Amino acid sequence: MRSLTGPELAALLSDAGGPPDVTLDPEAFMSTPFADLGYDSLAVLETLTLVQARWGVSLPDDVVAAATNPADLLVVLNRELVA
Amino acid sequence: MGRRVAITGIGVVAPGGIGVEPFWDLLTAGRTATRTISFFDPTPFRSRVAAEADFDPARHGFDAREAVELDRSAQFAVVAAREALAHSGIAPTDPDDRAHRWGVTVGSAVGATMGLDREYAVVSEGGSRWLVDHTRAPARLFDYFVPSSISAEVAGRFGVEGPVAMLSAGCTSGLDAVGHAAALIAEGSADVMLAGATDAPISPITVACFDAIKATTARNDDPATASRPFDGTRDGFVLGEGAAMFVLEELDAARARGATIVAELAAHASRCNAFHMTGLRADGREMSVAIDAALADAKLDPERVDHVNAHGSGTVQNDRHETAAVKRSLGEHARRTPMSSIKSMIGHSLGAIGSLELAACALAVDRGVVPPTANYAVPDPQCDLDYVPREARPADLDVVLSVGSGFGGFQSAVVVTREGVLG
Amino acid sequence: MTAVVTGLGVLAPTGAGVETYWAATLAGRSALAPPTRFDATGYPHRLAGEIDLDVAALVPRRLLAQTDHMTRLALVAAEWALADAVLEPAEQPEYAMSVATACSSGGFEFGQRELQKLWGHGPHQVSAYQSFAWFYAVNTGQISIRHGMRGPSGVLVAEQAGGLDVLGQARRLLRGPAALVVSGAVDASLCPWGWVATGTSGRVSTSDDSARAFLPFDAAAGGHVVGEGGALLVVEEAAAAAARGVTRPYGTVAGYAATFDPRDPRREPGLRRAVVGALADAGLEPSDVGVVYADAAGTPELDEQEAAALRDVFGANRVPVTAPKAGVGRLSSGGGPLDVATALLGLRDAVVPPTPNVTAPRPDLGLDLVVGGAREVEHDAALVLARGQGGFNAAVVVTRP
Repeated sequence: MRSLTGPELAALLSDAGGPPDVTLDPEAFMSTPFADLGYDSLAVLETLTLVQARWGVSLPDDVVAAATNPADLLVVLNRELVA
Repeated sequence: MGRRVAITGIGVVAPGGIGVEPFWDLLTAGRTATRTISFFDPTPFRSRVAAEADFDPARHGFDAREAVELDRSAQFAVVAAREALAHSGIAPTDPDDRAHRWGVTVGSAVGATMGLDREYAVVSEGGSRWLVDHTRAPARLFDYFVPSSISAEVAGRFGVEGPVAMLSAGCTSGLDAVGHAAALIAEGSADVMLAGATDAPISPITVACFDAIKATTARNDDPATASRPFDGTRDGFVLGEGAAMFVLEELDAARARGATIVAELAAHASRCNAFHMTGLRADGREMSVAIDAALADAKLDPERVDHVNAHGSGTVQNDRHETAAVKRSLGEHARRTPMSSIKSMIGHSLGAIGSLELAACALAVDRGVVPPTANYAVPDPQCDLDYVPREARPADLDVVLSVGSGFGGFQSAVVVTREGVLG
Repeated sequence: MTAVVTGLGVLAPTGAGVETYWAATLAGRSALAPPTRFDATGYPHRLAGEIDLDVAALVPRRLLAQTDHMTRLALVAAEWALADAVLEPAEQPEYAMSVATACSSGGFEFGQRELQKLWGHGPHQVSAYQSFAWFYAVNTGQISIRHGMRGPSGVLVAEQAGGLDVLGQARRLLRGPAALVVSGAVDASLCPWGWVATGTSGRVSTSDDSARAFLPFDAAAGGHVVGEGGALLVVEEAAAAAARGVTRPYGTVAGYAATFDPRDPRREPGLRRAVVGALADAGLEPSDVGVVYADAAGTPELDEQEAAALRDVFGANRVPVTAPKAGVGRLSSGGGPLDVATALLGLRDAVVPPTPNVTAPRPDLGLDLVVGGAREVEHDAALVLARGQGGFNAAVVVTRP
């Protein structure tokens, strides 16, 4: 299955929870904690739902628990998506 | 102090038994009514456990048409209301013709969800057409569309002609509906209220929406012990269903007619956390403010509280929030106060649960027993109160506090007392 | 305790914003037209009262994914009402601000989208926001969060009548811990699923003629048109309002009562008792009332029932009656609060707006229906009625400050 890119994840987060609170370059964005970007746990969960819908997969529970910023989330998501 | 409010009738529809006595038997035995979902095939869902009521509409007087057309939540409300009326010994249609002085407040978080969910699958042809097919929509769809039909069904069927409404405040609906009804009596807008709450949410859309936020348990391999409020291994709530209805009367009138007064509805207060639609502030501040306000309204010191009926949903966040709130309001006395969650046994029936919990509070006062928290075994260091593990406890109860917390930020508290405690 | 209205947030098909709406209402304008957000041509009912406003652009982007159209409208109406009241919530005591809104059917379009995903694609695609975005308490919750209002809050549901019930609730809260309440309702379910559901009420007009589809009290009455919108009101305890410098509130919520219709046809329907109750609550005589904003169901039988109640209390043709809602449609729980807002503006300007589209009021009803144009009437009190399908009746009396 196709993996997810950083910009794709940023776009999904924006669909799920609106634009981030701060304007950052892509690299800084990926390493900034969700809370500092203005994304609460629901926004992250909604992002997973969007991934599930667009990739047609069912993601396990521990995917979110491990992730505190977009970079972490990208790693765990891709572990699932390409598995 | 305005007019006081007595509980003179209780009716219950709950998982594990229909009626007050089976409900109380289940709670005091510490049995659980949670099981693998049987209403539909739960295989595609993350959480596949629920507390389902074994409810046969035909056995409760609904004809074949009503059994299909009346949403399950409305059927529950009617059956619970009928039991409460019979218990109280009065009715709006009594020859004294006081129907105008009777009102109805039914609480519900999600109304006729089962009916809506089922009909949508039909009119959208399995989710394949956005412009849904009106030729396949039955007339009853309107009643599902407007959940006030539930209150109307109760009022119309039993002949109430005073103020009637549905109250919705997420998962505090069951506490707030009873509080609202008590306020109508206290201010003189009604003399008797048929009040309580109902919800029948065990339907694919509800299970799916809680799956999406991982609020419900994933303990699918052990459904009987899946609801674990305050336990260190808890992983979410178990969806339930049911209804509880009360006959509430102005206290002096109830005394004058020689009514059996189960308990007094002493005070209700609610506050909002204005924080998050689903999230809770860890310190429990707003729930604590609601508890303080309710106790102050009843003119009771926090030390007078003999038992707390907890919201205790079994999510990690809720149980810590609530423990913090109760400690904030009751201080050191919190540690001496048994605090249990009946959701461990009958699950979380959203808007209905607050009224089911108030029924448990009134019965606890009346019968001198604190229901336990079933399935409690492993302590959570952040939940360090006396949760009445697994076994009911006899106790002389004058003052019982029930608290609730709901999506939307609602935080509510109700004080139930033995008759006469307030003087 | 005196409950005064100090701010209005109005969103109606004939106008978004108080003065735009008021000008259109005085002119007797009608906004009934085919809905634009979906294609209704294949349905038996093809006209709606739709609000012409890009509401999504007025709501913080962070809230878009989690809000139904209805909630977006409610957030905008609340913001406008607070601005109109010149009230900065952050400067008020947090536990003394309450939110009491009515709702009829929740965020129905959001719900349709998620039901469509559930049944078409499976549970894993259902939104994380579905757990609250469609439910009945959502507007109150979102308004409370947006403005930091932590007082006792909730939602009443009684179809159309619920919109007036919450004004009664606002007064109740002001007698308790609240100093101000954001009250009223904004409803919207103009999506195919809501459209089909409202159609099953049996009371929706099938006419394609926008000037003839909703004609309350008219000989040609044949049902109503469904609209969206409503009004949110800032209701304050008079002394608290005065203390923060409000010199001229719109008016006072002086009386309220609610009743329920018996199923037994031998017993009298409840509307008359609601009127009598609200007048008694306000301490007024029928002769004190300068205008009645009717529920105006638009079906012959229900119009007759309402006319009979009004004749009984006021006498035939003794008080001007109007139904501006004929130009916007029935707005579920939003209709009552919008009528209250209209009544307050009418008190302010000493005028009664007309009932749009109605040209031939039935003389046998004995109603002095204001048609053809606004009527100048100095008055101190207005009565607003709302009936909810299922048997709900509510009445509110508003008076000049």
